[in-house]
Amino acid sequence: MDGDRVVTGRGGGRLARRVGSAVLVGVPLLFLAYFFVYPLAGILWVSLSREGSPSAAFVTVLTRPSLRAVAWFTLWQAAVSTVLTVLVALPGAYVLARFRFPGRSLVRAGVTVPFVLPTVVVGSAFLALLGPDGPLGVDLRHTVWAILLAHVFFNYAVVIRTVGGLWAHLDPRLEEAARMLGASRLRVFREVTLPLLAPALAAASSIVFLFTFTSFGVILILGGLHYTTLEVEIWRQTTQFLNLPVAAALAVLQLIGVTTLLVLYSRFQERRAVQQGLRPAGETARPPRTWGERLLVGANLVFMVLLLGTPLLVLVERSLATAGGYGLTYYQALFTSQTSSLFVPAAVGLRNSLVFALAATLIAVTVGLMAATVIAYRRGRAGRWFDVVLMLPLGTSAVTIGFGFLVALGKPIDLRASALLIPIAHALVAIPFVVRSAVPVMRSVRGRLRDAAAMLGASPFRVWREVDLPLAARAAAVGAGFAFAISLGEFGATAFIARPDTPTVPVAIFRLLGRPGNLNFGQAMALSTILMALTAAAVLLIERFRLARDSEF
Amino acid sequence: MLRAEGITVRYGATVALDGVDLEVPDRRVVAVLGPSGCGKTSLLRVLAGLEQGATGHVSWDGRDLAGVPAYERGFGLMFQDYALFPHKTVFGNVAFGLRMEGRPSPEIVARVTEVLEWVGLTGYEERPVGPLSGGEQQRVALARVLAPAPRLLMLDEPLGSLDRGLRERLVTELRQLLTGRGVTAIYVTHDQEEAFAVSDTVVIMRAGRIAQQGPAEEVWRHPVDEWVAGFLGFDVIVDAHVRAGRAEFGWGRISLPGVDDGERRLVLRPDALSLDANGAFSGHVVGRSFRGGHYLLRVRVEGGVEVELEVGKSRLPGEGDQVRFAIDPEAVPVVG
Amino acid sequence: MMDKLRGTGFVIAMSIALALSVFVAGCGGATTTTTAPEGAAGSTVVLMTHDSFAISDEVLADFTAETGITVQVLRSGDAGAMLNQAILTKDNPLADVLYGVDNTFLSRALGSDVFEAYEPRGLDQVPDELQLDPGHRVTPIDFGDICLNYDKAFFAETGLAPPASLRDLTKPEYRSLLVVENPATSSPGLGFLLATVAEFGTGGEYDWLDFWRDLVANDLLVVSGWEEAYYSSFSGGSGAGDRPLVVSYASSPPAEVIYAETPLTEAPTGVVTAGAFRQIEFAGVLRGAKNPEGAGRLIDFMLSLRFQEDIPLNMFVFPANRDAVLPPEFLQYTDVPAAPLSVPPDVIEQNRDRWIEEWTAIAL
Repeated sequence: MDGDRVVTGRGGGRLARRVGSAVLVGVPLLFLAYFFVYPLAGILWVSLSREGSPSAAFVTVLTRPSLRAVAWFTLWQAAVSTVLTVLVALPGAYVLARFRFPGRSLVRAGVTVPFVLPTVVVGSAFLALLGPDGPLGVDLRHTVWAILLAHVFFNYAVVIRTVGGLWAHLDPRLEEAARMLGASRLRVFREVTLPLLAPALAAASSIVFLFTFTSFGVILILGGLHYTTLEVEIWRQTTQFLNLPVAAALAVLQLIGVTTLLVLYSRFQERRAVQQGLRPAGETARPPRTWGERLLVGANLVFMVLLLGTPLLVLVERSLATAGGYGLTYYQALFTSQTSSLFVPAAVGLRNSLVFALAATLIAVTVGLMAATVIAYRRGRAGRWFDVVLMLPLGTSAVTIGFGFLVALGKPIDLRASALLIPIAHALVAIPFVVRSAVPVMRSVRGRLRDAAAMLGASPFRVWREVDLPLAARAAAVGAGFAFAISLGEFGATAFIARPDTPTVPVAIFRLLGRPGNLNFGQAMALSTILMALTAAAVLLIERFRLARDSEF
Repeated sequence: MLRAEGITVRYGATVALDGVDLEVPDRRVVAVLGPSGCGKTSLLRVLAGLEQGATGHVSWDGRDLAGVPAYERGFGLMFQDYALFPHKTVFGNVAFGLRMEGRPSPEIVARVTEVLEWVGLTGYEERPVGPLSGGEQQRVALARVLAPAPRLLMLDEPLGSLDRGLRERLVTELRQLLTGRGVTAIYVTHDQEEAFAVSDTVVIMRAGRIAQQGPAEEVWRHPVDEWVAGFLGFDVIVDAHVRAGRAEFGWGRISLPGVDDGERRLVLRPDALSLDANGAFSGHVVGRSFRGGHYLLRVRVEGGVEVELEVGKSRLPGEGDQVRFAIDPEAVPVVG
Repeated sequence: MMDKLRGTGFVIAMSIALALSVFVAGCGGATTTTTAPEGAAGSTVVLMTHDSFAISDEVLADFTAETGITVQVLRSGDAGAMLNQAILTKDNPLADVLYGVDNTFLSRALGSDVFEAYEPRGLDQVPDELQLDPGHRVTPIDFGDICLNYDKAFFAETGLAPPASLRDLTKPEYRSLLVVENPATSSPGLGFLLATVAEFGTGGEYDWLDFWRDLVANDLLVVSGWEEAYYSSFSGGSGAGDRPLVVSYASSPPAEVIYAETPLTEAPTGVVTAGAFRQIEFAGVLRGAKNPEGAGRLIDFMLSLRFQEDIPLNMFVFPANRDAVLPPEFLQYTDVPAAPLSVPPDVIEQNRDRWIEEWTAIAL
């Protein structure tokens, strides 16, 4: 009787609803099919059928002990990184979701910054910090600890925003009711909060796991010789050894691992989905009152500054440390024009980055919201498989997808060397974020609200537009922030496609770091700092759009 | 006018509504009264067009509504928990239906202002709905459903979560609002006092069927069977042997003209009994409870039956006192 | 009401932004090449290359002024990725000219039959030792020497002489001073490995593997890539590390001078000319190119003095054309190794995987 059924009209509304349904399902499916499944299948087919039988490559992969060790390492470092990140970021998520303090939105925007930075840049900062001359005093470079630390650094934001996003909307009265019934704070957390947070926790964990499972730059730079993951191995096999069959076999292995995880994850989500009345975010946040709370907030802020801020500060410091003391020489150098076609004027790089980021965000939000609607409302297998397939690009080797584009997208329109591929590749990675943030909120929208809208004369499309969309859009704004950051940071397959000469900021940074010279290094640091500031500003802006009024959703 | 015939709703093996017929004349308020689970909310949902899989006919002014989706019926439904849109302000909520109709903005603004005045929330336009108190939210929900002037208004336990004082005040306001504007309405509740206060006709439902319907006073005076009497709060039902216009209990008799002979069951309502020094019956007081305006006295009559009387403060007997009382034969319904 | 209007306005603004951005992004893309007659004025030639390609805008403008052909550049990551892409798109190539295949990949490239033979004008100005393909499927454009760089300040302070040969690196006085890149993940790393193969040979009494064992025993530091090696582990010039010997390029010291913050009179780093490995870069016309005539003209231009003399300060490699005049910085601040080591491309192709495996076994 308590319906969360979507209103069905017998008659006129049905056609519109069918068409709407088809569009909601069709657009994301087509997008994914054409830009992911088709290229992936293409490259795997081409690679495996290259020399002799495909099974030869698999046999090699499965029997070579070094490759088995690589697979094992990939798995456990991803698992440990995920657990560590979640444990470390959970208190932070709580603090940022539930407490109001000055500078809160700045901190929230700030935690997203690491996400965006190219690993080669962050790598150098970490190497400086973790060396024997660094603050820790002990040489942690090229150890597992360096890798784990870097993973936490990069993925902190995922947990903060995904879990924190839901936490901010949890009804505090539920926790109060539990306390009134005699539960200690710890029990309240375990028995009330944690189960309610479970969907967001699972979502965040799955994303962090996928990112760390396919980790590349961090492993290469901070792991050194001794640590390799599947992703690094695929890259090596492809670009250094030109051994496509083995690379493809490894990519398949990686995919299997990822798909297994995702299936488990979606089963978990289905069982856990609980319809709850969410509170507007503004309502649940309050300034810290007791000394204990102040301590918690303060400790977390300090921790964030240390973990996230220190490497960033190293970069900023290096960008300002000119030969003649601190100054803006490198920044100025960025904006003087160079005649070489290699060096990218900062203005051009920024413009290109922004344009691509905007395009990628819009694609990701559009496709993502459509997919989220389908996943949230369609019970049963179809919705679950949809969810799994959408997440796959996150866990697929970037090299593989990049090459897949080349193999598959030549006909009917030759997109292989088109700049359009760049925002599309970014969107592939960003869509899961949009979906992840929107689905829990959509699932929590009580069917009653839709019924109420229908009773007031809203056709099914208008119900979607007036009720579902605004509520989900606020949550999607979190995903939009990520999408923007992902595009700015050039995630995914864009390093492996043939790009026309539209260099973005990360590309400019790579080029600067590609040759010796103080000016080059300094400018790379300066450009990285600008990238950081740009990201923070963009995320802050997106937050503003989302929270026009404090007590609104 | 609304006419529903043979409405049946099944959820698997459970039958929520079983062949319900209902008629709501124009400009009348019909209360649907019944305990939880009797099917009242299901009935509303069927009438609203929100329920799939219902059989039967619903028609408005003779036109069959089969195939007409909820958003085209022009009915208003006020939900039990208000279902206010959390992401909109008071204005946004109240204006919603008007926007769906496509009215021009100035008209919308004027109408919203008007309706907010009706419910006593003038000036609340820009406020977000989340932090509003229960009473305020209820009034926003009411305003929202009234604004588009639906041809049929359905209210589902609208006063359920409010405190007594507020409820009593709002019941009166509601009645004035509905009858003053000539609204055709169905008012669903489990509280009989509310039902009687607000409506012209009362429909009592039990387990998916209609147990009794009729003008409020009629139903109250003459419950059709024991269950209805019990639901209306009439606890005291006694056996009597009726012959030739006289009803005989074990412990006394009254005249009861116009009732058929035989072994009958009679309802002794508290308001039918009164303390009377010369009354035909006697007993001693075994309990009394304060009911605000009056006391309810429980008296044990010789012969073991316990009856209830309404007594004012002025002549209040104490516990254990012997009393005499009379029974008004015109106020004794026969239910079996 | 205000919510609705704001919402609509937002949606409209974003839609316009989307349309604009997609339009701009798409405009920057390499569309299918024009259908103008090949080689004729107004046509386009697409050059596919790696991320380190650089040439002055004026030089490319000169080419267009001369021939009327516009050059569109496609960048493909590093050389290995680029070659893979060319091989994968063999049947429907993305570009007309492929530039950036080096001698370590040459055999593979030729074996995959991605090139069309073309004998450019100006080949007589290229030294014979650079012309590794008699079939003219590829043309040498430039070369770089992978060699050890040393931190002058360190060696001056400690009074130690920079190593004069590769063998010196195994001596106790050079303990803990060297950082190299992993040949499995880095091109200069591979070059250095090949240098040691060329120097010490395989098999024999003291072969290249023994050399590496000694290096490892001498506290060798191995990192994944050049950036990490140079900027984070090397102590000289703009490096912030603590090891005064690194595997880099002969062109690195001039770069230090040119990109120094304050003008320098002397390069802060020097090169060890012994044990240098010559890395030659080639360009070729892709088989199936849409504009083969334009491609040919571009390659001719790439051998011309105008292009060749612009190479050093842009890509920090040396021009293949022996008549090209080197910029003064190149002459002044570095030494061009007189007798660089080399290994024939087909030998590299056959043994590369095995050598890297053997190296990994020792270095890990």
